[in-house]
Amino acid sequence: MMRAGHLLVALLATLCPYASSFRLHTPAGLTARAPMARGSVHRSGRVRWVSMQGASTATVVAHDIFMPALSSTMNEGKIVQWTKEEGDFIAKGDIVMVVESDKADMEVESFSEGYLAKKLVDAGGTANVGETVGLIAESKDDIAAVAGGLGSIPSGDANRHDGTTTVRIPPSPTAPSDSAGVPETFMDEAAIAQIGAREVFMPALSSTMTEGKVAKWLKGEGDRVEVGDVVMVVESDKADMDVESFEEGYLAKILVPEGSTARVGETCALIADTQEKIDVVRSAGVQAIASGSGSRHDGTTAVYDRSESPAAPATPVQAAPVVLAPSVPTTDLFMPALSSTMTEGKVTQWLKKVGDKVNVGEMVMVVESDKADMEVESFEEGYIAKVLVDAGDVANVGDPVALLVQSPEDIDKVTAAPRTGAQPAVPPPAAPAAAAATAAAAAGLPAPSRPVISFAAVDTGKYANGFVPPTSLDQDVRAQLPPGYDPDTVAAVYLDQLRSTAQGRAFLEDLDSTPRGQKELQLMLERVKIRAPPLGALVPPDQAISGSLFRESPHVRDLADKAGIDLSTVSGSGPGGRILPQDIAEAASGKREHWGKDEYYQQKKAVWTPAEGVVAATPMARRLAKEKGVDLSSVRGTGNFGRVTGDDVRRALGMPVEKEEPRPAAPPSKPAPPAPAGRPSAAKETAPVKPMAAGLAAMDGMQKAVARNMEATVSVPVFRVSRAIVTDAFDQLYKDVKEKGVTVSALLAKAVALTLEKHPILNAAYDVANGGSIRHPGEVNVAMAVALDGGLLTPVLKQANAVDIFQLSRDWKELVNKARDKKLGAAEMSTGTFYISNLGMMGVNQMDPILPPGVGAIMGVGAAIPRVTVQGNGFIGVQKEMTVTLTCDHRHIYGADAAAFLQDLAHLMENDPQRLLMG
Amino acid sequence: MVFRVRPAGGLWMAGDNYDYDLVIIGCGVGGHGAALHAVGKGLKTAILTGGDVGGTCVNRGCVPSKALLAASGRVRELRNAHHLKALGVTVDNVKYDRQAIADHAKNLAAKVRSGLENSLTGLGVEVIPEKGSVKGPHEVQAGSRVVRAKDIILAPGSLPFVPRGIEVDEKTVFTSDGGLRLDSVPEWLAIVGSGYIGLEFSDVFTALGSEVTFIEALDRIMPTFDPEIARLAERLLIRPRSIDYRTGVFASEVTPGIPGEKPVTIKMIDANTKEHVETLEVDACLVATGRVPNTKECGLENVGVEMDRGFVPVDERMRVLTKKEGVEVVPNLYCIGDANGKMMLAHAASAQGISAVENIIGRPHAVNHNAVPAACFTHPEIAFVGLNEDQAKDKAKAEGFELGKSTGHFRANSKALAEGEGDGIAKVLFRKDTEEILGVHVIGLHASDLIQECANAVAAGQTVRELSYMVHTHPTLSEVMDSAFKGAVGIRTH
Repeated sequence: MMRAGHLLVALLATLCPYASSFRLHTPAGLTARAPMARGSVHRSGRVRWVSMQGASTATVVAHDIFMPALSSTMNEGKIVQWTKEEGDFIAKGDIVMVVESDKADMEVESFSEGYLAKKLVDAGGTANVGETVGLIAESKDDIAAVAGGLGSIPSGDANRHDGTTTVRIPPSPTAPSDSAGVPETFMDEAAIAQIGAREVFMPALSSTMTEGKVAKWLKGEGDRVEVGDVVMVVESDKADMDVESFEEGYLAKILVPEGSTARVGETCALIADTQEKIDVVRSAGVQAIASGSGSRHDGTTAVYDRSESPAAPATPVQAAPVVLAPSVPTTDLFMPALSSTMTEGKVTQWLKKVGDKVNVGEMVMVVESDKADMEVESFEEGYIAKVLVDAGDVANVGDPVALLVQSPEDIDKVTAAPRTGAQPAVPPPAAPAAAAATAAAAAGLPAPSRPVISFAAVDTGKYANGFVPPTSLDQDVRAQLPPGYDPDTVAAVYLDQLRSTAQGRAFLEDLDSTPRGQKELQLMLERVKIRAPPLGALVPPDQAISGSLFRESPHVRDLADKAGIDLSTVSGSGPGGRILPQDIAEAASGKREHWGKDEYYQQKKAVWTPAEGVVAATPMARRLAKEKGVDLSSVRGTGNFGRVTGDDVRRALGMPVEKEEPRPAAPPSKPAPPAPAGRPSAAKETAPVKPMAAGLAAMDGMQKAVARNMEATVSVPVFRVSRAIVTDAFDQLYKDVKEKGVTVSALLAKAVALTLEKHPILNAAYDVANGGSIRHPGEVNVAMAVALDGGLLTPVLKQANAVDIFQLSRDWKELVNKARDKKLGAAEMSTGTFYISNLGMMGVNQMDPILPPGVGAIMGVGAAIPRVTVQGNGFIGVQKEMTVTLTCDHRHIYGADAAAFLQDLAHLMENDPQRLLMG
Repeated sequence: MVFRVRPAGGLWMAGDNYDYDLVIIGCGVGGHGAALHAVGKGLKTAILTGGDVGGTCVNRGCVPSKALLAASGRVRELRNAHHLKALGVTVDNVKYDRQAIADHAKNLAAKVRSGLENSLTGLGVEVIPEKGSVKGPHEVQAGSRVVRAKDIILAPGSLPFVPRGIEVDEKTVFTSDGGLRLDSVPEWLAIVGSGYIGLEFSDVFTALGSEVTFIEALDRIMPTFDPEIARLAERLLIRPRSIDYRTGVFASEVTPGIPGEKPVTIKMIDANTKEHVETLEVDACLVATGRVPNTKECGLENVGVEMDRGFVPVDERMRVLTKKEGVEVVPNLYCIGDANGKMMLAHAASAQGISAVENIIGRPHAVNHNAVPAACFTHPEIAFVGLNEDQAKDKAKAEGFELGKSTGHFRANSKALAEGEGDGIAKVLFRKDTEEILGVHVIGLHASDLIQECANAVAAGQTVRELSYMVHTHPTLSEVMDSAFKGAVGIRTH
């Protein structure tokens, strides 16, 4: 047996020339992908832990996995997931765990190789930054020894803080992305790279260290710093240590003066790469630190920036002088210790908000500690410039919770500060798609009424063609998540957002194609799910997520379809307003009532013009509008007397509404005054002008699906080919079989289906997986568009090439009826392999259809119009011609394919229509 | 010489040609308490109800409002899915029936009223449905006839106060009388006045789905509460709810609306400058600006009493004085309850009634109003007894003692946490020299029940040190009080 803490780490012994003081290399200069030698932190003479196996010379080499500082504000992290199990082999670069920090979820990879011997903190558990969470044995035989003998690695262990573990970070700005269209995570990297700041930050010098005091700066501002130079002496809870730089450059700015304390991970000083840039770096402050510069092993700065900065392209320094945010002196408001046992406190309420003046002694916030709720007064005077810990969030005692500035003018500067104020001048060089992942996700949202969930992209460098899937839900956004978003819904939204872009779809398909990928997708979804707010938080049961596609399960949709109920009229009684099967039953039986509905006030919605100066908005609408900066006059009110309600503001913001109210009936339009008899002309004059609808109209699920599908196809390269087809023979055939119930649509479908048999490429779809392939569906299913009142459905004639024309006609009629009743099953409208859209019956000459997703081609059919032509026999005659247009996916279908298809189709319809009756 | 005989027939006779030993005008909680105590002491007693047995409390106040609060509080609780989930409870689809809640309140009032009446008749009080007024010494006008009584207790109660400019239709603009009928749950309700009546109504209406705007004339909301408690109340009862407020403004003009046709219009002016500041168009408006004594028709002018803003001046023994700060007592005439303005609370009226009877039968007695607790039945409740912190500070300054303050927190109480209701404090104000309790203020779960031991202690003159050694049941909310008492004398409980 080995006693805890007694383990021989052999390899470092020879590297330790210092007897009594630690010499520490800061991880500055360490790029995340470039592991640092394990010996970079040298231990003192205490480095030897002698094995307790008596005189045994056996050495057991262990490494630890510790909780990295993922952001400068992170004090502790929660292990969301271990991706390795005890006993698993871990290669360098393997992801070992997923850590949830205060900002985002990050995958943490190992820079050590070995076997996971023991998890000291289980998934779901929390560890302080620097704390050992797992042990790695270098040899498989040592697993038991390491697992059994070592509870925690002694402080100063060589493996921590030097890159035993690190976090994958976004690609270094100097490494150009290999594909256009990559959501670029950090917009100002180009500019930042030009500034070229590096940093010295407070390292974790022991597993218990959460902060360190800068005892002495050994370099002054402006001094040249060489790699290996000791720049500062840090006093930790255990010892004083020299911290040396791995960067070379010039010490531009000392942010933590001597005698001051910094949290682990906090930036202590900035290093400029050239002397000229010292001033620039100095004025830019921490924002100038290049992400991935290696200055922080974890890409902290970058993570922080992403959540803060809008997707604005940055300015390369050489193009325009960098406009840097002036630094504004701020005063911190701290989380006070309200009791002797209090270690952290929850800000339950801010009594002041950004912009408010705070006087000394004035109450600024309410803090919930372990014992009591206390109002906390300010010892400082100033204006709240930034709230660092939102109401509901927890901060450790002593952590800053808000920033005060001395003048109201400085507020904006502080608020804007993180967005290093470079204005776009010219597009960044080698511009990778200038959209942050969050923005991309948002842009990918097809329906404005659906809540936008911002998923943060963390480039794990793992996925082909440079696509960066957003893999975690930004925690800052989580607070704004609509209540009632359960984990599954969030995951569903996430998937939906991914699917809304071609790239995302390709990525998903890619993943789906391998078992490993499927597993990965599962992990990703799990990670996304943990960001869901508590289920049903503060949601009255009937509050529904308006416009969400996830208000109901497919089963419920099915039930509603069968019962012929419009789901938008049903208020869900499930958590988060989900529609439950019983809601459908109640709706069907007409028993459904809205709780809280008050007949006295709500039945009549008066048309009312508010008096001058009256703000027609309820208290909640006002509160929300103020919070979100919404101009109430721009919001359409649906409350009593047309006043704006909280939900109206939410709707205007695209947030889910809280109360599912019955849709306000349109104000009854006044009936036209009866025309006086015998005075028709007068009646004509007074005929009311039909009012045109104005404003936003909600779309139902079908309409939204159409919109989404159509948007999804814009990224597909298509071409179009048209030709005329003489339909006289076809028409004659139709006349002959009309009485037997055969329809033109069925005949058309049959003709197309038979032609597709000869041209399978037109029936195939392009598959982005594995760099592209052609997917042959194995059957010919012709989908035809059916216009419905306010919508569009595409019922599918399955195996139209094989089913006889009479059956096909019957099938079609049934499908159309089902479509009208909105009773089509999913398989009846989503399995088409080729689409036909026929507007000929409405006199359309020619049309130019848009390719639906998932197929290779669609054919638009115009009307058959009599034309005078020279006929085959040389006579001039009249024949009917219709123009058909094929829209094809040019990734796998070429112009000649389409032309050949049309040629054969024309031949069939013009010369051999009888064949349509045979197969 | 006065003597009383009790004939075999059970009828009592008053001496000296009096019809009754005691006639009580007004049959609210005060009159009722006085009547029961009087017959218990052998007085031949009649009570003039004016058709309003139970008075404001039973018919238009405490009782029906508790019914509404009970029902709406449950709605609030059951709809707080987040809170319930923390307890492991899932409740779906909580609905309420407005009319049924309104009926519950109405039925409760009827039940309490009939109980009250039965107790009077059952114990031998003569209940006269007429309205009464003082005609002269020992003379009471009861409808068309005059009854003679040796002693008279006035207990006419109070009426809702409606400031000038506010037009009440009791439908869209209503006082607490109309509000308790719960004729509707408006989308937006304005409440003029943020005292405990307004606060309780806001609790009811927001729970049922209304949004509320308070209009307070003074410069802080809930001005009558202890400042710290008011701050907490704002945090617990206002901010998290669909409520906003304006302070320092008068509702100078309130015009009723017509549901579905036109809204209620409320014009507001600055309380100081009297300039128009804002106009609101709301669905309904509750006027909760306090209550005025119902003394106009009491006939006090017939016995030479000069009223003070409508209040009947009384001494500490409830004897009517000819004028405020006066020394001249009107013989055999007492006034209790809201009408004397000492403390407009039902239980205070009842205590005063008993006290008046004690004085009538020759046992001098005075109610210690400092020991009368008060409560506001919001969720959570607010309760207090004695001085508030500002008053206590003034007293400390004036009398030159050091004020002590100790606070117990619900957040540290096991029972409160078990209920998931850790919000709130109990604050004890005491003299550091004598350790005498000056005031106790509680906001938190069941505060109205917790205040009682403090009220008893104040009445009994117990010191906070004595209380700190009382054993409190574990685990109960009373331990919040315990921790405050112990904290006051330096004993740590956590």
